Amino acid sequence: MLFSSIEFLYYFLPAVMILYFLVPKALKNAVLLVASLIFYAWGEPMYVFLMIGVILVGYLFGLGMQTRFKKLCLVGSIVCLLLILGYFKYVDFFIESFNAVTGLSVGLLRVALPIGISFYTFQVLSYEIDVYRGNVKVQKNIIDFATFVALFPQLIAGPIVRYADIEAQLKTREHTMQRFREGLGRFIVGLAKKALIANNLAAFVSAFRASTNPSVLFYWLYALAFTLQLYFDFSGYSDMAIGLGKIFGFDFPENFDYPYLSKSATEFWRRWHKTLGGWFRDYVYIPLGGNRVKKWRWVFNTFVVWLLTGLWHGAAWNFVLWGLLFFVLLMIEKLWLKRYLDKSKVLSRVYLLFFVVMSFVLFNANSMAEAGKDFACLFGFGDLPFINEETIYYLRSNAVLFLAGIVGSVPLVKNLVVRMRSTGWGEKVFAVAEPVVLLGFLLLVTAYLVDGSFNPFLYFRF
Amino acid sequence: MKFRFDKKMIGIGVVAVLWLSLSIGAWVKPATEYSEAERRTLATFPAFDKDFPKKFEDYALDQFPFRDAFRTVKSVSEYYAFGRLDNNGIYLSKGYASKLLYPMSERDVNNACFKMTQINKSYLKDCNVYVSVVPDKSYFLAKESGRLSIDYREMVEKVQKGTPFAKYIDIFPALSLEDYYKTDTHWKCENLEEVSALLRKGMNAPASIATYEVKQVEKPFYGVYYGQSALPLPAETISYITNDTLQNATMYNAQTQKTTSIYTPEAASKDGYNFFLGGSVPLVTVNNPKGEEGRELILFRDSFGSSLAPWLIEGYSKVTLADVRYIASNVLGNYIDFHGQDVLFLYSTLVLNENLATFK
Repeated sequence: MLFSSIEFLYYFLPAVMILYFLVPKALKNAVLLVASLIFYAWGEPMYVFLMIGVILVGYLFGLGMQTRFKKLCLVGSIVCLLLILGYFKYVDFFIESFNAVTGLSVGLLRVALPIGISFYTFQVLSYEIDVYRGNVKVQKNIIDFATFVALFPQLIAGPIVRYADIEAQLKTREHTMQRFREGLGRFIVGLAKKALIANNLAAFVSAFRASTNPSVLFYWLYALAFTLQLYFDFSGYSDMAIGLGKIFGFDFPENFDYPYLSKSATEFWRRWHKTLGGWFRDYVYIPLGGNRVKKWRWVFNTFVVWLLTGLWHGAAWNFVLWGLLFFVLLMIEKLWLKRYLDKSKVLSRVYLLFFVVMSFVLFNANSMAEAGKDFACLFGFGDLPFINEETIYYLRSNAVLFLAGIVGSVPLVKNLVVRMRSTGWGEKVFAVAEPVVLLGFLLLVTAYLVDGSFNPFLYFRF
Repeated sequence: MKFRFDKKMIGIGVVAVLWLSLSIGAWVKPATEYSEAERRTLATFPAFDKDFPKKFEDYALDQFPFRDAFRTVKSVSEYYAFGRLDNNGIYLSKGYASKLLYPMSERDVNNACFKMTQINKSYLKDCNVYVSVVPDKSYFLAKESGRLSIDYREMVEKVQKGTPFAKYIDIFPALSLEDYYKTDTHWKCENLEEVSALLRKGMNAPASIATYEVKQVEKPFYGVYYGQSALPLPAETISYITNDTLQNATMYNAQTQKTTSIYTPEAASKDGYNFFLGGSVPLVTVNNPKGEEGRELILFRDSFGSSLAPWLIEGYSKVTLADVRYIASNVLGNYIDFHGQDVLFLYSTLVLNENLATFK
């Protein structure tokens, strides 16, 4: 089920909220768990059993770590979870690659990717490792543990919530009107980012891909549109998840911090998908030795992290290259460029945006051949006119959307609101304007959904 | 939940209450079976089977409270807030709602030509075969309003090349934007005298209607783009021509096996344009007792042919209209006796460009 769907917004969510706030405290996690399983089974009726399997693996190995077989349980859980993830996400990619290298033609298994598998297996992995390290206590209550894994607000597209983040809140959490207000507001803003901006940008991207008459400028507009779409799609989803979390009494970690303002790739990854970056740092990079090792080993550690980051995003070579592109950029920055980037305010941002946009062209290609064609056309080697009638039409028709996307991807509105609220009159205006804007967003989103607008969700495939 | 009254909560409370009200509305609203605006049957509550989630999604969208009003909100937002040049491929210009017909689908056009060639080979050896293409009204609107449109002339060239067995009749000089409805895809019956004259001349057909009267259908007409645009466009009027010949002509509908007059108000309850010859039907035969004995016309057509047909009846004793989107061309011989009639293939650019799967 999509957050940005009528069945979620007007059937599932109100029903769950009413039930959740009516039942006594002891049953709240059970309500959330059942709701989460229904939420997942709605789109993946068979794979809900896979998720239950992952929950059982995590729970039982977690319990096992209280015995003298602690290390064995850790290894067992990691092996089981990686095997599950490897089979359902990567097996066909490995077979294809094996065939390409050996010239053999081993048949593909054509395994359908279970939605959100990368998110919930990583959450369980972090739990196992944290239990082993003694950072968190073993969760003996299966309902509470299953609620942590399956919690529908963050189940299928993150943020990646670690057990440690919500360990206490699984037992005791606060439900206040203030949290409800903040959560609802955050949810609606995320919904608007997704349904009004990301979906319309997706329609532009789709029109570009369907075009039989593109131009160089159309390619550049596509690259910009996809860059903005990805941000609004994913950060919108994270906003919705964090907002819902607040309503249900949880504090999920932030996932984005205006990443397109970054002045380097290093800074970009501190602002983009922060929970994934943090996960790889704490569970891969540091265990490998981090940067407190010899230089060649540090380069190797970084290489591994970015290879895995690329693979995490998708089982295809363009994702691997995408990850490695950032490895190269980070290496160049750390060894040489960073000191120059830090001195510049404009050039550094131009540099970062250029490489981010190029990286997302690679990211969104359906094949390496398509990526090659996209790059060739972007830089004038595609035998295309610079501009044509079709490009002008789509540019004119989407100019406001692009402008809204650009303005929305920087903290301009946020800063204006903060500044306004710092004054007495501003706070009063905000008290009136906030619900009006939120209501307007909600009704407008509803209108777009009712009309059956284009509504894909990019991060589902991860 | 801990509740402490705070003025700041009033606003968000209003949002929550309205949200909940819409939700309850969605839960309890009785299902509507048919949408007049969208001219389609709406999804009703599905049975519990493996497709339930997908069907429920359709149901939730179709039965949402104030659905038409929300669609209008979206259209207005697209045009006036986002400055979009079209909404779901429909745009407004000069008071006309039109479809963005772009780009040209060579595959569809080639398929249509292939089908016409097959029909020609199978049935039309002794017939006088003609072909013509009706320009979509977007061709008259697009350039000036900065919208995209296929090149009508380019499509005509492709059709001419694809149908070398037929003589092409150019009707473009007889058409302008005003000859089309503002809210519908079709042309206006009452404006087609010049078009019919060009067709008759091209086919060496008997002379055109000498005298006729234009009458109006009382029921207001909202065309297909009225619903698709979801904008509050004004209603239009359907006009038709009549005279003694047309009043005496009878129409046999092979599907319903009923004989009626050529104008069919009973078929126009959902789509006003179905007033002309029963609307989208596979095969109808118009018999004209005042026509020239033995002079017959077979019109392979889409819906544009319905409102043109009254202009072509005069002089012919029999006019057969076949729509091969609804009847397989390989069974036509079971219903039509082909024997040296005039045969006109008349298709709109809209159908030629987008109906690959529908040509049977």
